[in-house]
Amino acid sequence: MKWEFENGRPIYLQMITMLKESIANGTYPPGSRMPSVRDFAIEAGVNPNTVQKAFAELERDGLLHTERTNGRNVTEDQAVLHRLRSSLAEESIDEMLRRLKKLGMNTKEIEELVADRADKNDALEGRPAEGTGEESK
Amino acid sequence: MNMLECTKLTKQYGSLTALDEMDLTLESGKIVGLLGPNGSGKTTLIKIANRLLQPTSGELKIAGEVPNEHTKAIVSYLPDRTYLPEWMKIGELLEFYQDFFEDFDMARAQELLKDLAIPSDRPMKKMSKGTKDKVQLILTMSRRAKVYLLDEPIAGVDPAARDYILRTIIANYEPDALVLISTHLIADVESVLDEAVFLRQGKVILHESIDSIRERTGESVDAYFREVFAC
Amino acid sequence: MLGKLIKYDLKAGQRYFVPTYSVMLVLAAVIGISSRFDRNAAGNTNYIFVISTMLFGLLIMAAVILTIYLLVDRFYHNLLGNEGYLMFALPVNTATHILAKIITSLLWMLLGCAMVLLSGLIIAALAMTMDNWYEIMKMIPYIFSRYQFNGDAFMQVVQVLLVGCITVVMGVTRIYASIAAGHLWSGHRILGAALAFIGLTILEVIVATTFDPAGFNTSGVLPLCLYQLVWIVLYGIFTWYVLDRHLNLD
Repeated sequence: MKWEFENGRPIYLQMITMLKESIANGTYPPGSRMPSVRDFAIEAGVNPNTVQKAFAELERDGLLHTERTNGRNVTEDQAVLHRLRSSLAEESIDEMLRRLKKLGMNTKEIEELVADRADKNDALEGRPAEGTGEESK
Repeated sequence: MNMLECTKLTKQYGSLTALDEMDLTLESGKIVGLLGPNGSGKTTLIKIANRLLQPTSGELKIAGEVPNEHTKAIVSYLPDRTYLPEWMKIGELLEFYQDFFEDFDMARAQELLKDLAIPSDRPMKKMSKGTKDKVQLILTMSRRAKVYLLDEPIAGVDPAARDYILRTIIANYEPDALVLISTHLIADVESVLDEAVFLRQGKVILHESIDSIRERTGESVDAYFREVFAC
Repeated sequence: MLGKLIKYDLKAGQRYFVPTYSVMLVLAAVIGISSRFDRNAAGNTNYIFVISTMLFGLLIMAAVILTIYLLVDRFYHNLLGNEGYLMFALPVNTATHILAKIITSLLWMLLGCAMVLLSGLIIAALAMTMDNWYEIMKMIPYIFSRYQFNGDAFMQVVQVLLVGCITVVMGVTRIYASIAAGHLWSGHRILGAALAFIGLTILEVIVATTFDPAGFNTSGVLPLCLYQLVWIVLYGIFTWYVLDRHLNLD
């Protein structure tokens, strides 16, 4: 039941990242009610103050807002959500570029490789699901 | 506000110095880990806070008062042993806590005990050690106290029970209270803490927020602890 | 708070006293009833009567030992054992704890006496035949006219009770002070308590014979009570001092 956190970074920062991803991928849909700080803390096995900090940061970014009825809701502002998805994607891409550059690839090689893998990925998803063996636990 | 304040607190047993001119200030609303190897003075500090021991010199104050029956009314203490009378049944224990502690939340305690599914006429002596520990924890955390002093709440307990205990602590402590958890099992407890106090041979060698330690060292507090206290 | 402490002490004791005294009262009934047959038996010994009387005697001894054991145990284990972690976490001052234990011990002693008296009454009530009762009924007005049940006789009974209670409390506080003294000698707490008890008993005897070798019977009840009260206060203060300032559980 406890979430796993890695060691070197403060937990609230890791929580912010996880929450941003969850909001971006729809686990917490736009307009939905977030659990209370305490419930969230119990679920994740962390200090409520940590959750409070994370939630406060997300509020500052406009991803959550506090309702008068004592709860926090995910924003429904599509522009904000789009910006979030973009920035998360950009982070992933920047990270990938850093790593591939370290391997000695140049931008053109990277672009070709990305296009190639994207096609293959689409083709894989185009096929109907196999059902056995393909997906393991 | 400052809920627990130590000023040059010293405790000596003959030639052995358990606490050595210790200074420490803890505020309400925080969950603090009192971390140190065995014999570093953790239990001594907690006992003095409960007036189970008197300091040799220096001072300890709870909410501005030297420990007395008034501070005991706002401090909820969980010792590191079986301290409830073995002959008492669950129902009697609940009544006992309610009789003596005004801040005892009977409804909450009953709710938590329900999850353990212990019949109310079962006496302590017929329970397993793990169940006894949980009962003691539940009674302690069902008080709406201003200070919770938990001495090694997860030592000698299996991992599933540890999760249960930590979850119970997070779920039930009074929000503005000070929670002091003394332990040497830091990895399990780290994510629950706001601050860490490292205690070595009766002295505070570190008092810092968990986030700050992690940012500063790039490690978990557990790993940092091992470095600091490497033998 | 004092009342609540006493309540739980009594609860702790009733698990032992209820069965013991129930058996005692039942035995008393058995004795009373079986004694009737004893008188009519033609040479045959009434085993039931003999055995139950023996058992009764044993039971009284057992009750005395039980009472003393419990009052020691409640103090030693409840305050100075693991349960002490609970008791001293209560929002109650040390003096109240000690007072509660003393009062509980006194109540247990009185309970014991009451049970013995009650047993006696049961035996008497059941052992008497109708003829006996008739004679006693005739005696009662005579008894009333002989003894003036006025202030004097009443006062005598009260005095006896008072001295009895104070003597009991003095014994109890001596025990508690011994346990407290033993507590100071970590590692040898029980031995320390035993030695302290012996020492205090000897001390009491020395002081008593030094100051009034003739005994207090001549001076009357009040000086005796005051003398005992001084001991009680001294023992109490010492016990309080150890438990309040030098507590060291474990």
